[in-house]
Amino acid sequence: MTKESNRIHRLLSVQSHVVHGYVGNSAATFPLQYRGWDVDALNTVQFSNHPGYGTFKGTRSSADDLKEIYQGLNEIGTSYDAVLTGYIPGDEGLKAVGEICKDLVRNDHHVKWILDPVLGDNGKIYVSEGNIEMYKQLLQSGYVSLVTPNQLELEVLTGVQVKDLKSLEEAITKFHELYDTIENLVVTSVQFDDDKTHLYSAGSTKINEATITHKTFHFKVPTINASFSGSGDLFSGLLTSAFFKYYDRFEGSLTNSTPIENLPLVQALNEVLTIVEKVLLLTFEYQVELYKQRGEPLPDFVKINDLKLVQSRDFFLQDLGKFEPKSFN
Amino acid sequence: MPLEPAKSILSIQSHVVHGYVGNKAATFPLQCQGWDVDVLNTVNFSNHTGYGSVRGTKASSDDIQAIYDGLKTINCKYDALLTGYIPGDQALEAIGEIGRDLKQSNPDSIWLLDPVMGDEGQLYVSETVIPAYKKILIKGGVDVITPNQFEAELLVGYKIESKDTLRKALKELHNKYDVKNVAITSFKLEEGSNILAVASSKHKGIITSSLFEIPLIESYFTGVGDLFSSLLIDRIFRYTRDIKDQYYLETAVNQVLTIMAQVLKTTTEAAEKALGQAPKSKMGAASIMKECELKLIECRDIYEHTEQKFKAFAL
Repeated sequence: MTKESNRIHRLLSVQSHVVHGYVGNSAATFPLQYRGWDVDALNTVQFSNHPGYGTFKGTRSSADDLKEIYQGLNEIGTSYDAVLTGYIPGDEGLKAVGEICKDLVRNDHHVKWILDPVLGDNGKIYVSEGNIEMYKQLLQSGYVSLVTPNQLELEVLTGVQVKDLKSLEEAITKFHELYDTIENLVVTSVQFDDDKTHLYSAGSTKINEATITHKTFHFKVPTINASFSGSGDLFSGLLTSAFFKYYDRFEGSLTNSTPIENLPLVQALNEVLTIVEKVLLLTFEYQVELYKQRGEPLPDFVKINDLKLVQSRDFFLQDLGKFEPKSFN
Repeated sequence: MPLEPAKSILSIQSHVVHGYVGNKAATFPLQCQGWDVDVLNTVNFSNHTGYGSVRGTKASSDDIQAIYDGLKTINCKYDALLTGYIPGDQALEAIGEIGRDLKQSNPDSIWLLDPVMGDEGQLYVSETVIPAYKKILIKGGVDVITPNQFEAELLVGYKIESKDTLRKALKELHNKYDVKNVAITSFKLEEGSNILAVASSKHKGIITSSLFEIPLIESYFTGVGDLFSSLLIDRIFRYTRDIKDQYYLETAVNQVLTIMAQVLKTTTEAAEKALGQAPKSKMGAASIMKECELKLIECRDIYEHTEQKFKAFAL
């Protein structure tokens, strides 16, 4: 399928905006547009840059500001295929965004809500207790289609500590018990203590047969010796479009005997992992070049502030992934 | 494969959640051409004002200044600056300072200023904005301006109704305001005549002015000028790195007009298909306005095109 023949999908993306760099809406919008999506970007903040720089300036939208703009969109009658929510600052903001998204789905059941439950990363939680509770309620509300926690977020949402494949599978099972209306789950990245050279990305799709089951799977991808701000937001943005692409392509119905490599979510995740790896490697290459120019040795571990998103644009048209999906048993 | 060189631009314009005007019209085409676009939003609105209803907030001049300070603190450097619609003369003054500061830190950078004031005899900003724009231009640093006919008339202070007054006005814009490049986006010398676009550059003391005849369809759509200036700044950046002749602006404008014609054709066809008839007005019911948003995503493959389909005439 060529990109020209794709129907234009419409997304409301509710995330932060940074003037410089690529996190939040600034990470999600361009790749989605390049893949042929109309993206309505509802910005929850306008900051000069992400806080990882150590300093930043800017303003936050209040809960009332967000609701006001949503009302404005309703007044002109916009419609969407999906709504994507990422990091939302503060309890009031999250409450407002939760109401906006519930309202959207309630008024149009075709709208898929892709929720990235941004709670923390690398063992550190950076939202309030109240915020975590609110996320749990949203996940139980029945309005969310796809959730994309990282390892820590999965642990916080399920109470299961993830340290190997077995406990990862337990956490996924627990997730579906607790949040039984969620149809699709993607655990974006998981690392085990005994294997620092690989990351795992896992997921599960609900199969609605006489008895409800879940097909779970995982991918194993090599790690890069660096951290990249915004990679999670790029990931959830790309996954939103890939999710639609492979569900649109899928013919027939999902059953328990559908091979995992044919599951739309598996194909979507595979494509996203493949693109993200390419973006990160190119970004890393630019960083290596920068150190070379400065005549400095490359440190063992590099913290990279800005993805080379624009320079990666051709990768966004990737079709199909290169990794091999595995089932848990 | 060698790494694509990074080029960065700061774009200070309005943001709409839905639709394509201001930064929403400028950012994507620039990104498609390899620009890292730092998007500073002067307003955060649900949609453009042509819908009749709009909700949202404006950034104050202090907000804008603070964000620019934040960018300086982390050492952002820019190859280009694009400034479009700025609400009010205070914000405009802040942007003037930002522009001069940015040019000072990189004299090779290019500043395109679109003096958004009105169209077809109608002023849609406060009167105080006119002297504020003149002040910015007098203080220097602006490399390109993209007024429409009405805005050009406001800047020079008289009607431009003949080739003679056009020549006089261009000379004034180049010399009095010291602007190297002037592109007038839509222009009519007399009633019933063709719509013209003007490309006028001053290079090594010589003013070269060219005219293009362009089809009249753009007035139905909003965001056309914002798309024009974003495409133009990219072409000017490319061609002024390595000026081969005095016609670089003519080439740049011709390419941009060619792309614009394609975007407008795609948009018109889609609007006609959705509405069952051609759109007629820049203002109207939301159901109609939504179909008149520029089809920027559908046109994503054409922003790099370099064809020149228009014929240039010397003024």
